[in-house]
This record gives sequence, structure tokens and C-alpha cells, in this order.
Amino acid sequence: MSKVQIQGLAFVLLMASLPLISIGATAGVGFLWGTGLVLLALGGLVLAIARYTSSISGEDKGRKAKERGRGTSRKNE
Amino acid sequence: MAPIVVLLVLLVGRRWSAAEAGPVGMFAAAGIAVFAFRSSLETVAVAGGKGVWDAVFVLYVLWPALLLYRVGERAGAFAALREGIARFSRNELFLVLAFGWVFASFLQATAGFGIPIVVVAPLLLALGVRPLYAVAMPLIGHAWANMFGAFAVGWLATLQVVELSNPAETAFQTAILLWTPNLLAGFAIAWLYGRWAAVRHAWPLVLIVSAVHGGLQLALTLWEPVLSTFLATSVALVLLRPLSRWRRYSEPAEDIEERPAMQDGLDGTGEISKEEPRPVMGLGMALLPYGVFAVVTMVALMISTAGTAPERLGVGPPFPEEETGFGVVNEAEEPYSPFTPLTHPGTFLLVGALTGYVVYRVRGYYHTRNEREETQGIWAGLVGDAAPASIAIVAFLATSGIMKETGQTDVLALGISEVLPPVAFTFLSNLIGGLGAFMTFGNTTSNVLFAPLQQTVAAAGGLSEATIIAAQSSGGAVGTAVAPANVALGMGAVGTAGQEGDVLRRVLPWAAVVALTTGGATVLLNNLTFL
Repeated sequence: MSKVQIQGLAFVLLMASLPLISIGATAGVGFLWGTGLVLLALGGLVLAIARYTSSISGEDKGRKAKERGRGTSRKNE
Repeated sequence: MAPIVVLLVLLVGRRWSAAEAGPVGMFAAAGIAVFAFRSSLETVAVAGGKGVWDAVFVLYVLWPALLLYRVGERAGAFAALREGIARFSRNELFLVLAFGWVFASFLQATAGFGIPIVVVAPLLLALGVRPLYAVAMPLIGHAWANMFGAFAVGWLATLQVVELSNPAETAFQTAILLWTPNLLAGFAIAWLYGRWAAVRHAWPLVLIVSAVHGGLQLALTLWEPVLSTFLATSVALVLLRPLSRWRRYSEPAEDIEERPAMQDGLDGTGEISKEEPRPVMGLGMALLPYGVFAVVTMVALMISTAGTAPERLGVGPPFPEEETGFGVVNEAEEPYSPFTPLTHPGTFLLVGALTGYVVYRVRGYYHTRNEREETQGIWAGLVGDAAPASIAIVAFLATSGIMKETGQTDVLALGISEVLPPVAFTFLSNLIGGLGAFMTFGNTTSNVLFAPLQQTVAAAGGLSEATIIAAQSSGGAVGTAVAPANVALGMGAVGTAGQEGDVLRRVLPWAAVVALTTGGATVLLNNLTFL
């Protein structure tokens, strides 16, 4: 998985926890809010785990920032 | 205190990104809530869920703001903006201040999230500024605009985490304190460019621009804090045109001999490389999406002020009452903190972005730019920018929610207020904001973490809530200039990673002077009420 995909997955897990916690806690359904809590924890864990398993290097991060700053790379250069 | 220490160690000591470290801080807060504050897992889940919901308000500004930036960037609007400004003058110092301070502030007001650094640093490099200075200048220049910049995302987040007794007074005092880093930024950038000779040459320009930045922002907070920095920086940007016609700033400054910020062999005229292709659009077209945003916002505000329907169309999730083993009770809320999309600035940003996209597409700017250069897609660029920042914001808001709802923030605040006398705390309160921004590289995240704590200490010590929150906000803004992640972002943008310490050495003296000045001003403001 690319770094952006991993970040996207973490973000989706974090956001998915919200309705489960809200509905589960309000209705008193332990399974629902428990699942929401697990998703919240998993969403948080994904990046920490990816930090030690991902092959993306600091050099890539620097290059990405550089591309963002210049916005483009010339075709004919 | 442990979640904050964990964040500090991971962000500063271990150099983790905010998106990586934020969730670990959240786990620390949850662990302490369960084992030391006798909270049930359900209480922790509900507190975390409220934090995630609080993040929605912030994310609905972050994503549309970055979309607005990406729509313009891909069409070549920022190249047009740069050329539009650079055509104004042959005075290198004027251009350095125009880019490093005025344009960086405008970008912070419109996009934020590190964009002023990664956009302006390469532009200054193109003007002939040395890489270390090209990063240091926008770091200093953009900082003041953090709190009400990015369409006041920091302010909106603060309102989410603390219930202010007088929001108008708080916004006003925040704007007073932010004027200092703005004014000192102008002088500091001039000094970096050409020491005292440059300061003598630049002082009228610095005073005029700072009067617009700081004064207009201050006045506009009385009306609408969300638009205050955007309008102030927009007016300053427009003001560059008449200022560039002033002979003092239209011709090269011949009285500045020492120019340590500039590369060797330049003549001081600020000529940009002739290899740069002609922009695909003019200055007015480049500013179109931002103009649409401003108009839509003003219309919506007028409708809202008239008390019609949009304000009432709110949605929010329900949460039940929770109580910890120590008797901290959080009442049931249905709905919790309703979200009103029709009056939220994120919607106005979306309208501006979509209008810009349609107009640029119809006029063929994307097609023209694609023929010239390879460009990153709007969506890919947006996700790449927004995803890590979103994770950090969700994690920090969940951390803040858990600490607040389980009583951790209260205990921490009461401990600090017992250790420090009120005057000392008042003087140092901006440093707490600075520490938060240093840790998390954001004014918003600093306020989310520390505004509840500052509010509680202020109440416990009999201090002005508005002044202490203002000091927290101002300190948080200045802290972004020395945040390691921001420095690293800038160094990456100019391709000289690894010299972050050298940049910090140029920025830290300015930050120290601002912190001392803000501390003194905070002590003075503590006894004053304006509104």
C-alpha cells in the first residue's frame, strides 16, 4: 500500500468510529460502541505500525514537499 | 500531563510526524483515563467520539481550503499571482517583503497548513534568496496569520473545545496580541535581507503593511473573525500595487550594501528567471475563486444576521450522560454540538473552489497548462495534503476530548495554577501555546490541546479568560514558525533537507523577542476589558 492509501485507511477508520460510538452508547448497545472504540484504536494504530513497516523514506517525503512547492515538473527538461 | 509528554517526546525527541504521534497521545490519554481517573471504557469511547465529531468542524474547512488552493495551483493561478506581484517593482527588498511577508500571509489566510512555506520558499529562491533565508522568511512572515488564517480554522476549533464567556472580547484581544508578531515579522525579514540599512529603507513599507494587516484584522474581528485575516491580507496584497509606484520601492535600493540573504552575483533588481513560462492567466482571474468565496460569505453572513433558516438547519450526533469513578459528570446531549453546513465557512470555500474549477476549465487553463507541464491531479494533491493533517486533527481532538471529559485537564490546570503565581502564569501563558504549536506544528492543534487547560487555570487563578486564551492563541501562532515539521517542510521545498537547525537559528531570536513582548502585553491586557 502507498503512504497515501495507508493514511486514507487510517482516516476512514477514525471517522467510522463516530456513528457506532454515538448510536451504541445512546442506545446502550455495548457491541456497537465497543466496535466504534476498536475502530478508533485501529485508526490510530495504522500509522504507528506503518511507520515501522512502510518502505517510504524520508528522501521521498522531501521530494514530495519539493514537488508541492514548485507545483510541477517541466516536460521538456 | 503524560499524554502531552508522550507527544513531546515523539514529535521532538523521536521526530515522528503529527499524524503518527497524535494517535499515540490519544492512547496515552485513554490509558490514564481508565487506570488513573477511574473512567469506564464507555466513557472513554464517548469522549473520543465527541472529539471525532469536533474534528468534523475543522476538517470541513481544511479540505475545501486545500481544494481551493489545488484548483488554482493546477490551473497556474499561483504562477500568475507571482508574476503579477513581481512586475510591480525593481526593488529587491520590496519583492522579498512582498513574497516573504505579504504573499505568505495571504496564503496562510487562504490555505494554511504549511502551504505558505512550501509555495513562498521556492519563489524567494527564484528571486535569488539563499535557501536558508528563503525558508526562514516565510516562516516568520506567515506566523501571525495562523490563528484567524485558513479561514479561522484555529478560532473555530478553539470555540469547539472551550465555551467562552465572551468570544468577541477574546477574538479582539487575540488580534491585539497578534499585531506584535506581524509588525516584528516585517522588520525581521528586512533585517535578514540587509541588516539595519534594509530596516531603515523598509520602515515606511513595514508600518503601512502592518497597519493594514494588524489594524484591519483587529477591526474585522468585531464583525466576523472568520474573514478578518483573509480580508486584511487581501487588502495588503492589493496595496502592493500603489506602494510599488512609490519611487522609494520602485527602483533598486542603492543604500543597502550588505545583503547576507542574497546569493552572490545579483544586482538587487529582483529580476526573475527569464526561463519561466508566461502565466496562463492574469492577476484578476487568479484571484477569482477567492473573490467568489468572499462575496458568498458576506451574502451568507447577511442572511444569517437577519435570523433566517440556515442557522437552524443543524445536525449532530447524540451522546448519553457519562460519569467517572471520581465523580466527573458529562451531561447527555442530543444533539451534541450541532453542525450547520449552510452557515459554515467550509461551504463558502467549496462554492469558491467549484466556481474557480468551472471557470478555469471553460477557459481552457488546465488544458493549456497540461500541454506545457506535467502537473499533479487536483484530487491526488488534495488527498496527499489533507489526509495526514486530518488524522492529526482527529487524534488531537480525541486526545483533548478524553483529557477534558475524564477530568485530566482540570487536574493538570489546577496543578499548574498552584505552582505558578498568577502574574507569572499570565506572562508565560503564550509560551504554553507556543509549546503546543512547536509539538504539533499547528496553531489549531495547539489550541485544541491547551485552550481548555488555559481556560481552567485562568478561572482558578482569577485571571481574564479572554486574555489568557488570546495569549494561548498568539503563542500558538508564533510557535508555528519554529515548529520542526514546518521547518522540515520548507527545507524539503527548496531541496536542502538536513539544515533545519540553521534555519531555526535565524527564526528563534525573532520568536524569543515576540514571546517576551507578548508576555508583557498579556500582563497589561489582563486587567482590561474592551467589549
